[in-house]
Amino acid sequence: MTIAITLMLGFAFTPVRYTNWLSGAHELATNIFAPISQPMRAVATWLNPPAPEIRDRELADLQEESKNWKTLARQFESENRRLRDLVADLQSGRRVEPRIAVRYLSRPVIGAQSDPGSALLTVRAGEGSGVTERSTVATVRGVQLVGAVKAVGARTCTIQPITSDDHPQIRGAIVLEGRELPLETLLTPVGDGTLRGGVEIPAPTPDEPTPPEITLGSEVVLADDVWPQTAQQLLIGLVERVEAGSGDAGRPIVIVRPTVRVRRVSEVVLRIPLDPDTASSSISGGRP
Amino acid sequence: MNWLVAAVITWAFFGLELGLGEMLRIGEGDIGPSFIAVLMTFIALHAPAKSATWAALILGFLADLTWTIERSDGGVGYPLGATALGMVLGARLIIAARGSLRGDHPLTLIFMTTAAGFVTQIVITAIFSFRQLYGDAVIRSPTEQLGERLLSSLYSGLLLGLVLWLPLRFLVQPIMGFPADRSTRPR
Repeated sequence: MTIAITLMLGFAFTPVRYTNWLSGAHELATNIFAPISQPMRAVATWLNPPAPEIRDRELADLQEESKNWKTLARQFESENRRLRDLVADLQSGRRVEPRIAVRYLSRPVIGAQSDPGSALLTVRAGEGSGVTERSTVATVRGVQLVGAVKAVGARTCTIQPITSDDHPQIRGAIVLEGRELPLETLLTPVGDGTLRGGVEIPAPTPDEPTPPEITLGSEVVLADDVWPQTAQQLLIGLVERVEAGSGDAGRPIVIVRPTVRVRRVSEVVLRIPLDPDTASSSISGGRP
Repeated sequence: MNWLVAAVITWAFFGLELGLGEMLRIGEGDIGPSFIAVLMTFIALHAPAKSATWAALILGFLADLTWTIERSDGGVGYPLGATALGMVLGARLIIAARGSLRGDHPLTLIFMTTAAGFVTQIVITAIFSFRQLYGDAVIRSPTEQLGERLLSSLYSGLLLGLVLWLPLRFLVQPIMGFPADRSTRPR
C-alpha cells in the first residue's frame, strides 16, 4: 500500500507534458469499459436527444437535405474565393496548397470523461481508421461541427467539443440572406452550450449606407484559418440572440447555439482528409 | 470481500459513468454526478478497512486512466494519481466515521458520498493548484473549478446515492462477501 501511494504521489505531481506515454493505458481502459458505456450513451441519447425530434419524417429529411445543399453551396463559394486567391498567388509566385479531399466516417461516441470538469469525448475510431490529429474534424451528419480531433490512439480518438469551456476562440462568419459577404465574428464558448462574440460591422458604403441587420436564426459557419481546411464552412450554429455592444467599439454581440447539443451526441461523422500532410500544413499557426 | 464480484461491479459502474455521465450533467455545465464515488463509498462503508482502502485506490486509479484534460499548448494530457489519492483519503474518512453510522441506511450512503466526494475534489484541486506553481500546462484554473466540483459531489450524493441505494443494498451487498461482523453495525 505504501509503495502504491508513493507511486500515485509521484504521478500526481508529474507535469502533464510528461504523461503522453499513458495514452495507451487510457485507450485500453476506455476500450475495456466501452461495451457498457457505448450502449448506455446510446440509451441516454435516445431518452434525451441532443436535438429536438421532428415528428414528420419527410419534413426532417427535406430539412436535412436543404442543410447539406446549403453547406455544399457555401463550400463552393469558399472554393471560388480560394481559386481567385490561388490565381493571384500563382501570379505572384507564392506556393499554395491544393484543395483537400475528404472521406466521411460515421463512428459512435463511446464515452465522455470520468471527471466532471472535462468535456472531451472519446470516439471509436483511431489511427487504424485513418483518423489524424489536427486535420480530422467531427461533425453531426457531416454538417454541424462538433469539434477537432485532439489526440489519436490505435482504436480511439479524443475530440474537444466547440462548446466546452476550455475551447479556444473560433472565428466564424454570419451568413445573412441577401448579402453576398458574411459578417465576421470571433466566438468564445460561454459554458452553457452557446458561443458568444462581437461582430465586425463593415463601414458604410454607397451600396450599403446602413449597417446590415443580424437576423435571429442566421447561420454561423466556420471561417477560421487556424482550423483545417476540412472544417471550413461547417455550421457552428444559429444566432440565438443579438445584444447591443458596449465600450468604444460598440459592436453588436451575437450568442450562437449549435443545432445539436454537441457534448451529448452518441455518433459523429468524421471528416478525414485523404492526404493528412497537406491538410495539416494548411493550418496556419495555432491549433483548433 | 469478493474481489471478482467487485471487479465486475466496477466494470459496470465505469460503463455507467462514461456512458450516462454526460446526460446527467446539469444543463451544459460541468456539474455532473459520479457513479464511481457512490461505489467507493458503498465499499468503504462495508468492507474491511484494508480492502476498502485498496478498492478506493484502484477505483481512483481507473478514474484517472479514463480522464483526459486539455493542455494549454493545444494537446491533451493524461493526469494520473490525483483522483486515486483523493479517493483514498475519502475512503479513510468513511472508515474513520463508519463506527458511528448505520451503514445500511440510505441517508448514510447519501451523506458519506457527498462528504467523501468533497474530500476527493479538494485533494484534486489542491494537487492541480500546486502543479500550477511550476507552470504545468493545464488549461483551466483548478480553483475556478472547485465550486463545480463540490456541487458535483453534492449532486452525486443526492441523486445517485438515493437511486443506487436500493440495488446496492439488495442486489450487490449480498454477493460482495462483506464480513458480517463490522464496525458499521449500529451500536
